[in-house]
Amino acid sequence: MSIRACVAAVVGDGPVALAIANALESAGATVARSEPGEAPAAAVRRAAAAGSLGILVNCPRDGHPGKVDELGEAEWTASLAAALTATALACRAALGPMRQLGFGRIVNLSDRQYLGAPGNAAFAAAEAGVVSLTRTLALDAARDGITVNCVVPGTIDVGQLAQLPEQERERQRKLHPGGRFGSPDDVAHAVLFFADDESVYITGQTLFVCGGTSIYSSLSV
Amino acid sequence: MNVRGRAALVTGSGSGLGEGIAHRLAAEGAAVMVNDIEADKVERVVADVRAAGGRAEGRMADVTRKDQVEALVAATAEAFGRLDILVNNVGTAKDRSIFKMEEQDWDTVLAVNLKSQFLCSQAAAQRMGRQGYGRIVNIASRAWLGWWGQANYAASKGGIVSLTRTLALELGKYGITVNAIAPGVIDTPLYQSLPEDTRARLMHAQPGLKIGHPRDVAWAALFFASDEAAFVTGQVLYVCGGKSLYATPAV
Repeated sequence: MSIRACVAAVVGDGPVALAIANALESAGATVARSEPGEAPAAAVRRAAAAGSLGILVNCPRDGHPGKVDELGEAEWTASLAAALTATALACRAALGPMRQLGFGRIVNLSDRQYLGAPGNAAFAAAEAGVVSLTRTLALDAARDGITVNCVVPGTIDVGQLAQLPEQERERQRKLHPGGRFGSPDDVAHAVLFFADDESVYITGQTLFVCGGTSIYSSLSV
Repeated sequence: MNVRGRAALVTGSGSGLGEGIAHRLAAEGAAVMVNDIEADKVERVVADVRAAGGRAEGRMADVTRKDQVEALVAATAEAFGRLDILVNNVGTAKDRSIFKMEEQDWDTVLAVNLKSQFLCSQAAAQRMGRQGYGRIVNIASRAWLGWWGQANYAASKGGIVSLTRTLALELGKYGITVNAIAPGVIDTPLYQSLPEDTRARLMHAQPGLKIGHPRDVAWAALFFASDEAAFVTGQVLYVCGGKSLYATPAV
């Protein structure tokens, strides 16, 4: 089933989600974006009511920063709910319509911080959970024409880097083999690749869009 | 997935996966240099690409030889005016248990699969570096994770993963990305030559109970080769129907 014939649900907000929605729309999909504050599952159900739900993209939200011994239980729970549980519930809502269609492309966004992120325990754990969820769902849905993959952005410049001291920003930039940070369009292109009907034999995979910075870590192959 | 107007070299593209990649890149508007060690294969693929409306040239070369690699890369740049995309596809296998593997089995597989990628990448990177643009796509294999009877093959493919990651670090500042594709079971002439019960066993080991087609690998190669994949480098993408999930990321 081609992108043109599909409704694509994009859950999440921010510049990256916007770039993904625009890319899918340019490719011909009918895009349904979640409303601010809308429950992920409700957004998916709304998209499925609009036509043949063939594509679901889950964009993560930030959790509470903090080391594990600094985070309260409520903050921990809220962080996991925002990134991991929201993704799981959106996937759950999409599986039924996609199974009925016999076609599905689920693309979950994780974050490079899942490899370990000092001072950001809950977010890192939640994003690692998104990777595990992707892999498990890929196996569970493999016989239903549904692929499930994960795009893992590195440092994407959406304006937040301007707040860093220049020296720190330069240090981070130089960690990138290509000498630049990413853009929302870089992420959107990778999402579009997995969302395409031609990505039929690719499932359960984790693709870093990080300018090569994943190479510094094991666990990235 | 834009490769229009780009110049590509695909090693070992006289048949199988390489042929599929050459066709796909040409269909998307890239000029393609077809390479193999057999002249008739090169001629056939060049003719097929042209018949489909694509732009192709062909050249025989043994890419395990430095002098022939340099001539091949020079010929590509001369034919098309530049070299933007290198797909290191050529590969071979000589499966034996470690007890029976001859020294020659090891040397041949390591040379064809791994040394060729070093030589071609080195020669291509010189040109790409001067252009400030390049896309290197290395064909590895899911088997790099380890497989019975494939000490030589798996080690060569594991070497490709390491080579990919290292070149991505070294070449990033020249606008060159380096990525690898790790295909799983694909319906090639080699697969069709297997006994029926082996094929059935491989099929049932697939999470989706289906095997891949060369076009699935070509699609992934097109993604890495595209202009828009500029921020993707040093990555290994499995095109295996999810079978890698049984093994990764345990390394």
